Amino acid sequence: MGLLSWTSRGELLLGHGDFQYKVDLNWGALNAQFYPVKDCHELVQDKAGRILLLTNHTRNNILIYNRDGQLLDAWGTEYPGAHGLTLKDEGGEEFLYITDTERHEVIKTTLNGRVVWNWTFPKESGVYDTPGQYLPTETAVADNGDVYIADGYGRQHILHYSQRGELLNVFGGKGEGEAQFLNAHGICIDNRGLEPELLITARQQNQLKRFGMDGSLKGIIDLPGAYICRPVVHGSNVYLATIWSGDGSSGTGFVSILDEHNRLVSAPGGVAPRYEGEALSPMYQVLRVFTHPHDVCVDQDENLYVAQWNAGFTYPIKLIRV
Amino acid sequence: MSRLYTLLLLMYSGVAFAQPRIQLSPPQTVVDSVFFVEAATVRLELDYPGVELHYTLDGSTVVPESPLYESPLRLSESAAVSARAFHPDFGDSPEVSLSVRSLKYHQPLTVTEASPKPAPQYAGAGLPALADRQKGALNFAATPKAWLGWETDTLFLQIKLPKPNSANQLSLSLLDNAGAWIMPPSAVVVYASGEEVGRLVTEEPEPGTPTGYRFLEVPLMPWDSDTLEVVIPARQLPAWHDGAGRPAWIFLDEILLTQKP
Repeated sequence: MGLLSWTSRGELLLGHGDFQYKVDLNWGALNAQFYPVKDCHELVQDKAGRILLLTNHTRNNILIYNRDGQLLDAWGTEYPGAHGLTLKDEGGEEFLYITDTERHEVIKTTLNGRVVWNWTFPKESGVYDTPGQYLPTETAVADNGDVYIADGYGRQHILHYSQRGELLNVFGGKGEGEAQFLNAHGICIDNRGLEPELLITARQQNQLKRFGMDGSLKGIIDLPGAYICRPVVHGSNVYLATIWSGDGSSGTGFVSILDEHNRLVSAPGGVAPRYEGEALSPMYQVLRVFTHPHDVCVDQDENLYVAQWNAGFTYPIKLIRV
Repeated sequence: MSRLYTLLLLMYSGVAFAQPRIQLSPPQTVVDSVFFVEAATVRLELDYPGVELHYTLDGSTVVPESPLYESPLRLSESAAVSARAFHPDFGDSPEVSLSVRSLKYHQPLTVTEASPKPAPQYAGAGLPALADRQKGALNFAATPKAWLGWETDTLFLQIKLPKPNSANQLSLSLLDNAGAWIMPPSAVVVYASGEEVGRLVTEEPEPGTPTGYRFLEVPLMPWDSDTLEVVIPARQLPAWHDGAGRPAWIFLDEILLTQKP
């Protein structure tokens, strides 16, 4: 009984099928007197292999770790609503795109924190009256430099900008229509197919929506019971921190992993995925390992780092692939 | 000294081999209809190798000796189903509860007035939603039409009956979700023709109470009128809560009047 879920050394295993993990609950833990966190919102890895964590604590909005969880650097005091963190390699130099829900804007910085550009409140879009209606949660950056901003906590529009701040397109918006969103929380560019696409979460609807780069709807992936935050494409898979599950009660999150056909194949912390034909049975948490997973970062060995929102000021959890 | 050594050794081996005790999640509860005429069927699930589910039907705490869940429960009387999951390698799950209510003795009613009006963002399908026998989901945003929400110190409701009536119990179906600042009210007081005919006072909730449905059932003294006035003082958010001192939201999805024999 229960042997399936433990290694021979008695360590707990999470996940299903080819995607199983050991758990390191203490990864990245620091002395909170010196390096405090509030919500751990998002994580990315740079090409030097470092893990960059974004928190909304203005003592150190960015904490930079090595893969063992040792702190290498810390910076950032001006991002009280730090929420979304995207990394883009632009001709050899890497940049960060930070969305701030309190500043109502997106800020581009170097990896050291030097600000190089701002995409401010999109008054010219005609769909907002005041900055307070605009609460950007995530960005995706195309290879041509175009920036897609998801206003996940505001009016749920997706704003498509050029690198120099020219507004090129607006789509989505709050609503129950197929091409609309209830909580357009996360966005990324999916280069797995012949043409690049946008993957955008409709978190409250438990759906991942596929759009062309021109804002046309391509398809909807239903993940019933999974309140997915941001899609992260790695290899042929999509990883999604899932902040709540089941009926949406607090403390019910897990991690979702999709295969190349966008079917759920593993859910560390959740019930084993079951399909009846094309329909996924409703998902729910089975073990209380995670509190409110908000983002997942996949490293070169396919280990996962999980940042959590509203989790008692705790640092990320590492899942070591076995 | 050797004692200290043993202690250190224990600590080190603990770091190396022991896993922190991880707790099971609460079982999923699925009911075909919370309000029923003939019977309700309740299904419990926590699909993980080696998990056992145990339950009670009388509101008592679930212990490993409680009945083992083996197949869906068919309930023909009102009941409070409580369940927990157990596994030798994990901490016992929190208890989850679900109430089902028989409509065998229920009386028709209309909610004619609410003061103040529900908050605009939580106005549901209006006052008729309180007497349509449709249960809202625990995740209130998933069934926005079913739930009516108020942020007020005191809520007044007026209920009309088709004819003078003497139902002996008024039930309010409420949401308890402390994280969303929603709690059952501190009391429910019922008046008929200006006379108090029923009063129920609730206890301050403990921190960590899981999100759930709450039925407040107010016994009524004999009365004879076609109108009831209900006064509902909100719970002040307790000292342990982030919003301490402010009124908790009242979320109501159904009102029942029953004439129990």
